[in-house]
Amino acid sequence: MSPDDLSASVQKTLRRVVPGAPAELEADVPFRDQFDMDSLDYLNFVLALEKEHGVTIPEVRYPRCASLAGAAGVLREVLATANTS
Amino acid sequence: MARERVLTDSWDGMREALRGPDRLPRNITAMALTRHVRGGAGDRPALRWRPRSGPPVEYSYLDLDHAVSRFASGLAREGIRPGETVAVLAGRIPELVVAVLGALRAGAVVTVLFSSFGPDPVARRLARSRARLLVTTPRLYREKVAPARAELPFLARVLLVDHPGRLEAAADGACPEGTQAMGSWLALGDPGVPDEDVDPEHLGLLHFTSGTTGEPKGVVHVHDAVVAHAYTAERVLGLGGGTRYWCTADPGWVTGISYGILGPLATGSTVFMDEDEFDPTRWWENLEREGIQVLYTSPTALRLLRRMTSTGSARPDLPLLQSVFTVGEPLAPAESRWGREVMGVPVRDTWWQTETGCIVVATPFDGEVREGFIGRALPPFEVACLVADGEKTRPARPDEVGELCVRRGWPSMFRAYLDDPDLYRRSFAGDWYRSGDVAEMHAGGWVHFLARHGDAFKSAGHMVAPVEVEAVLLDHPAVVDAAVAGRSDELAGTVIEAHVVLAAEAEDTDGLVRDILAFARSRLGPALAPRVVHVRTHLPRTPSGKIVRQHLSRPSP
Repeated sequence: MSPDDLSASVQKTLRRVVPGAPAELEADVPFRDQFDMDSLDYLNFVLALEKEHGVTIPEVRYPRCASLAGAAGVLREVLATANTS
Repeated sequence: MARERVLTDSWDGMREALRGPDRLPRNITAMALTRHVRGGAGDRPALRWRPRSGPPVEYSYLDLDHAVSRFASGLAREGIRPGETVAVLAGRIPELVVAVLGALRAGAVVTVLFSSFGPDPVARRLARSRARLLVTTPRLYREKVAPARAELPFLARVLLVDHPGRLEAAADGACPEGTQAMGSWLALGDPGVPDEDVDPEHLGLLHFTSGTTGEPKGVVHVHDAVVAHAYTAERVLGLGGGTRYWCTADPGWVTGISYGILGPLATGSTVFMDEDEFDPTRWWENLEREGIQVLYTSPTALRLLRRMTSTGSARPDLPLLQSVFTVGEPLAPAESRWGREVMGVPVRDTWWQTETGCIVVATPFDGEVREGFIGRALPPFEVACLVADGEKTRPARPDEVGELCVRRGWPSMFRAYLDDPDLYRRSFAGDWYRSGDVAEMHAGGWVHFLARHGDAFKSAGHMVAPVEVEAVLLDHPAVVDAAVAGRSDELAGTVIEAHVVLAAEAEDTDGLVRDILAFARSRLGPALAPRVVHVRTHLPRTPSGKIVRQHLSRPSP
């Protein structure tokens, strides 16, 4: 998946988990500075990313999933590891 | 420091101990800040704030005192008089603490609204509170206040915090029309304003809480409440001068005010505050790096932590952590055991409500922990389980189910429901405040919580307290969260339906669902065991963690 595709996929997941999340997001700004996202939304978002891509996101990388660029980056790393192992 | 202690045997004694030989003004902020500054502890850290990104920022009692004075003098400049209302709509930021204590110092009434509320509930609460001044952030203003501004005629001034934590620093850019930067506004203020010496019965705090039906209730507290905040913070949570303390509650909830700001500051503790929402990595980092000694959190947070923490992953040692407390919903034995296992100290339950203003029933820091019990009434509180007996009420027999009631007369007892004197009157039976919570009081005064009145229902003729069923479901190794409600059924009238959230490692299969049903039946018997189990990603809860049972029948999003 190209970086753009990955980012689009993350946005899609986000909007499914958090209905009403804005379509236009600043990539490097935390979601929580851009719209209302509570702890449960956040958990569901991370779990949905895992489910859709068939991967496990290590707990220590959860905080980085708090922005669009961060989540796409984590996903790229996790997918790369999954493909090489 | 001996002079900081407030423990005595009566509310009057505590009141006097707090005011001290200097006869401080009878004002919440005098007890939370002035007491320590005058007592020579002004340099002690009062607040350590971890912004969403970047290292923690520390504010001493003297730093807060100055900023709070600037805020109070600003209110006077605006013509906002004692008794008028100041509202805050913000997350966990230092400016919220400054606004709360500043409004109180000036004798104004302060109300803090949940920043995760949408525009409708925000506008409704602002209108009902008749707030003259609002402190919020540019984003929250734009999304939640600006659309309704025209319908808020009382609201004369809006202060925006664009760089949280910088207090009186000037703003970078222009503010939207009808607003002003809080930093520049504070900079105009006087850093040395005394506390208004108000009557102890002067209104100080307004908390909105959801009722069972209709409009949110506005629960009103007076300045004397700080006596109870300080006493319970010391007696239950074990806080004292310099204790490193973290309360995870949102300040839009009464816990975030009584025990996130007022109680701990009155005891001279150092309050840690994390701007970010719950995150498992930050959770462990905060406990470890900040050397947290006392943690006050919720069963919901423990459940999230459990759900997001893979089994076997490394946990930091927490040698400094002394006590962990929860509030908001009953602590299930399984959650309590899990918490103890990962944090190394017992998890202690507390019970209180917005209306009580402070902890009433608890397992205190130095008390025996009994699984399945909240704890006992904290002296000098008098608590009873009462049952209706004709026109009157009588105490429940030992182990009989009754309504948890508290004898009136404690300092943080609510003094009114905003604009609803009838509802206030109905909340009392003679000398007793009726909590609406159903409980059993066992020998020795141990209180076992059963249900919020109204959550209980009958299934096939048997009274069902959902919490009892939920506690058993939570004992199933694959279940991390559970909620139970009645569902209409042709044959039984109502059957018990369970909604469960599975542990990270568990797989949602028909086999597992059957296993959960069988497990519950083996523990509860056919009359109390759920007939249906739905697996869900999360359960509908209020921001304070209570299950919204009327939403249970709707599927997860």
